[in-house]
Amino acid sequence: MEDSRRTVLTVKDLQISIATGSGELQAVRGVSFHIQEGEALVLVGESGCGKSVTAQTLMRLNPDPPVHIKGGEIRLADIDIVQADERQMQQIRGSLVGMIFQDPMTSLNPTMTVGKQIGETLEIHHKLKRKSRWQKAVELLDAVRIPGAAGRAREYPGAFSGGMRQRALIAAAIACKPKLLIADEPTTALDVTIQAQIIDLLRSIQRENGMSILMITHDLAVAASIAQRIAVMYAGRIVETGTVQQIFNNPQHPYTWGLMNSVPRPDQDKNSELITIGGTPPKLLGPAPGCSFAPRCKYAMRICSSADPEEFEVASGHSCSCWLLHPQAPAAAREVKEAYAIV
Amino acid sequence: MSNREVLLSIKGLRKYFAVGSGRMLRAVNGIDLDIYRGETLSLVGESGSGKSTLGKAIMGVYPPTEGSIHYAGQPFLVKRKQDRLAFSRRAQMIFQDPYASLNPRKTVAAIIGEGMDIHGLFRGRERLERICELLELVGLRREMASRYPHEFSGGQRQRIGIARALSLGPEFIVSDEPISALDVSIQAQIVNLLKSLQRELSLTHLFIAHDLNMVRYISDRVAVMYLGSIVELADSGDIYAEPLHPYTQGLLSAVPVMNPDNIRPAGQEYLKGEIPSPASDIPGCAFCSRCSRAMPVCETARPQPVEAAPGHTVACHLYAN
Repeated sequence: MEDSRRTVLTVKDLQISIATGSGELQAVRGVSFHIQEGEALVLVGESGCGKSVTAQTLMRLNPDPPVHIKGGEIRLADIDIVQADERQMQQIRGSLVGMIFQDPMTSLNPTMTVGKQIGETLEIHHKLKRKSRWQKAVELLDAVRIPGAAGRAREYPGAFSGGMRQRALIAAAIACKPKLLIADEPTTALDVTIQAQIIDLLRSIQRENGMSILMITHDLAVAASIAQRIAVMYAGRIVETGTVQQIFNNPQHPYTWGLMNSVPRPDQDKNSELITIGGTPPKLLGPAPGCSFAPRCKYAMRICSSADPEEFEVASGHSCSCWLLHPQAPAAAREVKEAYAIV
Repeated sequence: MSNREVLLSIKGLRKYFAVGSGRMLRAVNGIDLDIYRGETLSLVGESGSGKSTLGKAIMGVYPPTEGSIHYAGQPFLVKRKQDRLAFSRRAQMIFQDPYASLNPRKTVAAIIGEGMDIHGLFRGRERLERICELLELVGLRREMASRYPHEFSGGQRQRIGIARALSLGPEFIVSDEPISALDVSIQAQIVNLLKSLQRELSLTHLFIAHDLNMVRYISDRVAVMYLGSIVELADSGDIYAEPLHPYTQGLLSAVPVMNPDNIRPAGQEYLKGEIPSPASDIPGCAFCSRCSRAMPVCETARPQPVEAAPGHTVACHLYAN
């Protein structure tokens, strides 16, 4: 995977715990990934897998306590995020990293015009004067394809639809040309038509500005439409990572298969049942030893519930933490896997 | 088509809401629709298309502004209490948000049993037995009857909501986005459950959803709504294979595909703009403002549904003779 492009973000063995009334919740349990310049990485997983808390921690958005970084390293363009103090973080947020959230309805201040809100980042980081801030805000609204940008900038968020608000938030997030844009479920609250428009917009921004994107989603199809690389998360760990082609054409982890099969294919026989993942994700208050997915896995072997799976390299840039990939895994399990992969 | 029994028939249904200063929000703006016994009919469309309002109007939640609903040949008068009560034994609803649709202060048994109490159907031990049966029917355990909603996960709560809907032994179910608040792996479980229940209990199912992959899989027929009207209605296979209305074409092309080798190039938008406000007064075709094939007639005349192929109706001037 090493190429000539520079690495924008490196996360190594990140561990995050959340103090709750019933004890320590190990939300992230040793997550490592990196993002190159101009690359889009998508973290895919279900509620509670730790994908959002990972993203929020990259911007240090969560108060400690209760959210505590127990270990690991986050390097963003040579800055050590874990060690950075609040003053440094305020300089980083908005200038080096921009972030957009799931709910465009609540992420904007309803009492401030959209143009002024977009100008805020420019005031803080670039010390622009009022007039040039406004001019820049209008340009940005135009860049995110809001028709009649000059007029819309004077309006309040209440006059904007969900899709328009998400565009305005993207405009604010990219105002200072950050190296990395973090998008946490940016299209989940939107209609499929608006979702397609927003994904298209993000792809254009990525291409035109050479910006890196870290996107969080639970929707594999959304991931396929924007990612260069995908990391599948389950119970606070990355269980499989690879290029988008490797993940979709040659998935290795039973959880990845399960996610793919949970969505009906266009040619799905209506009389056949969907292949589901039984059960529910584990609670992360004192997780059990072994693979967290084992209790829901159809292919679980004895070792799966006693020892954490090692990370196996499937191909260059494609790795998977599953005991089925061990050379000593029973041949039967491998055959199941191969038969499955064809489906 | 004609040999199938029409279970629910709506004619010229309109539901307007007053939004102040004399303006009207036309949530459902003139809909004719027959639902056949035993079928799964899906309503799809963007937010603001009126699909939820239509579902609720059919259930009698809102009295219609205009138009009629016939159920099993009999008129259903929403304003008459005995009609509503009788209807509620035959038709029930499943809601989107499994967190908000269950009373947190009631036990699962009280939630599921409420309908039986209202109708005086089962009492005492018989009632509890029926509740336990329902729990098992939806894949939960009978000892869960004494627990409270907060003790369950989202998927389990949706199962409780389904058990409640089935408690009176209905023949018709309206489910309003029953899976959109759930995780992907749980969605498939709930869809499998809904499909198997429909088969076992011979239910007729009106499925309101925006997930077009799931709709294709679950439905016999699909009705596409736009701004209060049905713009296209056909068998599920036909509508996905050959969508006729430009809106349906745009909607289907926006569905992301699980294939990284087959994504559309950046900068190519299939469906521009956004759905107008249902409070705006549009004399012609409601989709006109976003349609790439709009003609002069589209701005002045509202297109009427025509049967473009057997069982495939579309309301678009492109298909008017």
